[in-house]
Amino acid sequence: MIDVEKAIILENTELIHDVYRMRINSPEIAELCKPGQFVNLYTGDASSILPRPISICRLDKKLGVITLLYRIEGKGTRIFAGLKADDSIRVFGPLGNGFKVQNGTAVLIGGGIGIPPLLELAADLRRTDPDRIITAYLGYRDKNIFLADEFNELCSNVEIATDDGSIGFHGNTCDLIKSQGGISATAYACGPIPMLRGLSKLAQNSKLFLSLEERMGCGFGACVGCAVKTANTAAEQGFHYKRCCMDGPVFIADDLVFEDGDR
Amino acid sequence: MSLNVSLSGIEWKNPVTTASGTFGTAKEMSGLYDISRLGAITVKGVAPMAWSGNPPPRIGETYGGMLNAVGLQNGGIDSFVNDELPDLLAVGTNIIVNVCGRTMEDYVAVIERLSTEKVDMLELNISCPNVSKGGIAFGTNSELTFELVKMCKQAARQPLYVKLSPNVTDIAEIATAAEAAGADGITLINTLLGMSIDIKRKKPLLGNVFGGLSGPAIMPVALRSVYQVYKKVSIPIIGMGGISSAEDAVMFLMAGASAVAVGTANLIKPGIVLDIIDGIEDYVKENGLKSITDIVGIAH
Ligand SMILES: Cc1cc2nc3c(=O)[nH]c(=O)nc-3n(C[C@H](O)[C@H](O)[C@H](O)COP(=O)(O)OP(=O)(O)OC[C@H]3O[C@@H](n4cnc5c(N)ncnc54)[C@H](O)[C@@H]3O)c2cc1C
Ligand SMILES: Cc1cc2nc3c(=O)[nH]c(=O)nc-3n(C[C@H](O)[C@H](O)[C@H](O)COP(=O)(O)O)c2cc1C
Ligand code: FES
Repeated sequence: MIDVEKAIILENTELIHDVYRMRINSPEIAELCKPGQFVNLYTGDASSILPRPISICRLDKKLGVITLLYRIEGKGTRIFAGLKADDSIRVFGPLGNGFKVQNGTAVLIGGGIGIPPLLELAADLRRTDPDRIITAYLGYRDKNIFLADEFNELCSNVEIATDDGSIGFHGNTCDLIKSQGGISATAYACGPIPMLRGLSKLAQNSKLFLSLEERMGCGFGACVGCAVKTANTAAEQGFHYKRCCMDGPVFIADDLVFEDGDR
Repeated sequence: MSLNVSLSGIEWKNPVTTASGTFGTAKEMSGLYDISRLGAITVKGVAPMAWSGNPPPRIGETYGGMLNAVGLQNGGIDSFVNDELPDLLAVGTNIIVNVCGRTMEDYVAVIERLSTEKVDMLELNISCPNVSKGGIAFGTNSELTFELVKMCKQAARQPLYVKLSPNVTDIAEIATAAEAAGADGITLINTLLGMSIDIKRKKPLLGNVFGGLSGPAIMPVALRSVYQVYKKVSIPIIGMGGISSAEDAVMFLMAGASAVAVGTANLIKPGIVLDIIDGIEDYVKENGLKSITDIVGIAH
C-alpha cells in the first residue's frame, strides 16, 4: 500500500453519460496491483473527507499507468469528473485481496459499473493461459455500453444483455446465463447485489468469486466499517462480519450471507 | 526540549496516541507507518465475549466529518490477548486497552483478565453511542458512572482512565463522579450521536439508524469539553475529537489535556499521527519551550 499525495492524471474523459475513464500515472502503485484490487481516491475537500474506493480496471506496469472507470454517484465522483489531464489526485493503494486466478475455463459476469474490474482480470486470465476459454457476460442498462471492445479482444466470447433490450439479450445477466444453460466453469462476478445474489443461486455447482462493495471509512482495515456478512457456524448467531476492504472485496459466494431487500 | 509526558506514572515519549477504534491491528498498521513512534497505541473496544457489531452500512459521511455505527465489533478478550496483544507488545510503545461491556460484570471481567498482561493503561468506554445496552447508559448518569468506576478500579492493576461522552447535559459532572470513584484520568470525547438519510432509498443511511459523529466537525465541542473538565478535575486528561494537525493538538493541550488522541484523521491518512508529532516538536522548538507540559492548561 502506497500513499501518493499528487499523482498526475493523464486522462479523464466521459465515455458515456456520467461514466468516466481516468488514467493515472503512478508507477509505484501500478507495480503492486493485481486484478480485483482497488485504490482509494480522495477529493481533498471538507465536503467529502472519506476515501472513494475505485477498482483497478486496467494496468500498464511498464508505463506505470492505472486505468479506472467510475460513474458519477454523488459529491466525490462529481468532483473527480471535474478534473482534467495534468491535474493531480491523491491515490492510495493497492487495497483489498483481488481475484485469485484459477486454472481452466473462466466465466466473467459484470453488471453496470461492476464491469470495469473484470477487464484486468480478463487480461490476467489471458496472459496466464493463451488458450483458455473465457466467456464474458456483460449487463448494461441500455445501448450506452462501455468496454465491450476491450473484452472482445481478450475473451473467447462476449455476451451482452441490456435492461431495455436495445443491444443483445433483453434482460439481466442472470436471465441471459440461464437461457444459455447456466454456469459450469469457475466464475468471477462484480455488479449490483441483486445480480450477485441471483448468481450465487445459479452457480451452485461451480466455484464463484464475487467482488462486493461496501461503504468504507478507511479502506485499509483500521475501522471495521465495511462489514460484509459471512457464514460462520462457530459464531453465536451463525454469522460473522468480515471487512470488505481487507478480507475482500472478493469473496467466495458460498461464504456469503445475502439479505433480502434493496441493498 | 522534551516531548515526554507522564500520565499516572506511565512515561510517554510524546503526547500522541491513536483514538480507540481507528488504529486496527499492529500487524496490519506496522506496514503503513512507523507505529513505534507513537506515544501510545489505544486499541479498539474489547468485551468479555465476541460482539458481532451492527449491520451495514456502518459508515456515513457529513461535512467535515463522518458517522460510524460499528457497534464495537470485537473478537472478545481471549482472542484479543492471544491474537493481537503479542504484536502490540512487540511494538515498543505504551498500550492502552479500551474496555467495553453491557453490564458492570462485563467490564470487570475484561479488566481482571488484563491484570496479568503487560498492557500499560486501561480506558473504560462508558460512552459508545452505538450499542443498545451498557456503554453510554453508564456514561450519561453520574451515579452509575461512580458505581462502575469504583468496581473497575478495585479490579484494575493498571491506571484506569474513563472515556466520556459529549452526549450529556454537563460533562464535567460525569468527570467529577469518575474522579471521586478513583479514576486515574479522563479521556474525552467519544462521538456525538447523529444520523443521516439516504434520499434514494428514503431510509436512514446507517443500518443502526443512529451513529457517532467524529472528525474535524466536532473539534470545537471536544475542545470546549476538555476545557470544562480541566476546570473541575485534577486528574490527567487525554483529549480528542477532530484532531488532524499539530495546531489542533496544541489547542487541546492548552485547553488542559496532558495528551491527545487522533481518531478519524488516521482513517483518512494513515501516518498523519507522525506528522502531528513532528509538528508538535516544531512548535516546542519554535517557542523555546523546555517541555511540552509547559503549555498544558495554559489557556485558562
Ligand atoms: C471495492 C470497491 C470498488 C469499487 N469500484 C468502483 C469502480 O471501479 N467504479 C465506480 O464507479 N465505482 C466503484 N465503487 C463504488 C464507488 O466507491 C462509489 O460509487 C463512490 O464511493 C461514490 O462516491 P460519491 O462521492 O460519488 O457518492 P456519495 O454518495 O457522495 O458518497 C458518500 C459516501 O458514501 C460512499 N459510497 C457511496 N456509494 C458507495 C458504493 N456504492 N460503494 C462504496 N461506497 C459508497 C462514498 O465513498 C462516500 O464515503 C467501488 C466500491 C468499492 C467498495
Ligand atoms: C470507526 C470508529 C470506531 C470507534 N470505535 C471506538 C471504540 O471502540 N471505543 C471507543 O471508546 N471509541 C471509539 N471511537 C471513538 C473515537 O475513539 C474518538 O473518541 C472519536 O472518534 C473522536 O475523535 P476523532 O474526531 O479524532 O475521530 C470510534 C470512532 C470511529 C470513527
Ligand atoms: S473501510 Fe475501514 S476497515 Fe474496511
